[in-house]
Amino acid sequence: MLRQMLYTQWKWSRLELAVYAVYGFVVPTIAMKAISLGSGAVGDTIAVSDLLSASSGTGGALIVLCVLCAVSLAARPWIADDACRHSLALSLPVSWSAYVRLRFAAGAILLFVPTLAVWFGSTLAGLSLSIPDSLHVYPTSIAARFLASALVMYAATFALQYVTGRKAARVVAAAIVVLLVIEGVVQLATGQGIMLRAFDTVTSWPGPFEVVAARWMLVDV
Amino acid sequence: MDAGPVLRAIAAGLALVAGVAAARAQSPARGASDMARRNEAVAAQLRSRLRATAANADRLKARLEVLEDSVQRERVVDSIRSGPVVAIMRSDSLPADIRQRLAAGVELAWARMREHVGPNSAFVAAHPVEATWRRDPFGWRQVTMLTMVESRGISRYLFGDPSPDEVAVAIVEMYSGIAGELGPESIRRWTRHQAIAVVRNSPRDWERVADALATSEATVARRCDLGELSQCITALELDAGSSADRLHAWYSPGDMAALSSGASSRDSATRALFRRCATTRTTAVCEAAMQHINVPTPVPTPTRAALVAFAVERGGDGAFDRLLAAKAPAAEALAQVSGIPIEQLVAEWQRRAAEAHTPRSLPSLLSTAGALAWMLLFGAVAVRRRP
Repeated sequence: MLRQMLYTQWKWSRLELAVYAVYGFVVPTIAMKAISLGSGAVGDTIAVSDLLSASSGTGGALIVLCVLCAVSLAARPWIADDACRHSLALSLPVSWSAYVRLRFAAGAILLFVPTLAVWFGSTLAGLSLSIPDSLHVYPTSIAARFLASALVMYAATFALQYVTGRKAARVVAAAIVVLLVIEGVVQLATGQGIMLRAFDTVTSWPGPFEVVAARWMLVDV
Repeated sequence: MDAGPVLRAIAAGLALVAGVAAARAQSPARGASDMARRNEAVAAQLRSRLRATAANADRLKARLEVLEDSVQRERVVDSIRSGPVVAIMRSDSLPADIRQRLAAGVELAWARMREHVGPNSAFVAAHPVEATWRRDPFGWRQVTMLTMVESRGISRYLFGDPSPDEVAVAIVEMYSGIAGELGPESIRRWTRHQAIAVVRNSPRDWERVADALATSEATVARRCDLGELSQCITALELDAGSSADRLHAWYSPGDMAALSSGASSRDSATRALFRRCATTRTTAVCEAAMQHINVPTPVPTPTRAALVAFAVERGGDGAFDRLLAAKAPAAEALAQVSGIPIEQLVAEWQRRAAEAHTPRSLPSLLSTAGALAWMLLFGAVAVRRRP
């Protein structure tokens, strides 16, 4: 059944997955070069600081890709099921939880497509770059970080979508408004905000998004 | 009868009458003029006296302020002590909970400093910290302000309810600042007036040193990172080379080309020079190009400060006091402080930095495990609810 589910989701998402794969392949190769040239590099002559900036910029572009992949792959099956009022889930001889598990697993497996593209792109970029001996290229680690981050983001979005259903967008908007109001009140009352602390909590160990907020560098020490 | 005397008498009489008439006509004007002159003189005198009195009042006012300030300075209503670290309070306005936090912070600060500056540091004892409860610089809220009594320019504001760690960090920074001010001239010049740390290098400091060496624009520093001792000495400017030779010693033509590639200028000729250096990597061209760039030292100055801190750590007992009293040039002073030759000191420093190298771009096992655990948790939440 997983195979069938995977096939269905692949058919729904293949176009955007293709776009993400191209993006994932192109970003490390082209972006590294483009950012380097933008900083004034001539040929393979590039200042170390520019190289690291280019590497950091590439990491930022990959985080954007990671979020896009995760959100679209998590939301698409729900949108498709909801369009036909979940009749497929109700008609299949499996429980709701088993059905959702299969949907979740299928989406998670599809995340390997952009991850592989990122790995190929990073490896190619690493081979084409001339870097000092004291620095290293990390194509596998950046791909691993991409996969781990995408899985967490995907799982979080999937949970939000499947718990709140059609109200997901409204829930997110309301949560943002409530947070902003609380931040404003706390700022006025104590002079210290809570948003920054909350952000630190979720983006540092053992917060869920620690892996997303960590260092995304294709070239590093 | 001779009419002469009669006429003369008549003429004299007429002259007398005319003189009296003229005198009568002039005397009120002359009197008024004299009066005005006298009044003016009196007014000038009064103005002068007033000025003198005002100046005197200003002097007295300034003296009063000095005396009041002195009284305030001498007034100590409370103090917190931990080892030689003393935090004094001039007024009793400091809230009790803030005082408790300060006490914990002072204790923590001394625990961090003790090992480095020595258990009976005269330097620390001679520089008490003053704690005041006052409005922040913008006048918005009450904050705790810490100031070095002996050097009032060194101060820190602690907002809200500072944690003991925040207090300790502020105190350590202030002592480092004052040590930087009082340190030997040779070390101050060599570290470009960086603060002299009163605590040992933290793992994060060592990591920064390792990063600075590995990511330097100069080959000499990157080779130092890879373990070439002579390159470390050159990169740190601890050799006897003259400053004129530094550019060659620090930067290879390739490094200069890289620096040129990132440089910019409004002048088209200079831009062309940068481009020529970046493409041809010719020494002469690149040297000319470097004249238009503020060439950085191979390693940033905090890296040098980390070597000073390491020299104190290596020197053990009394090393910090030896550092403050040093008179020799930087390399010699560091050797004296550490008690070992400068080459050995730099070699050990480089080894410690190399050990601190952590490939941060590799996701740790813990981080990966955490991500997978959160993924499973979110997944479990998702399957529990049915639409």
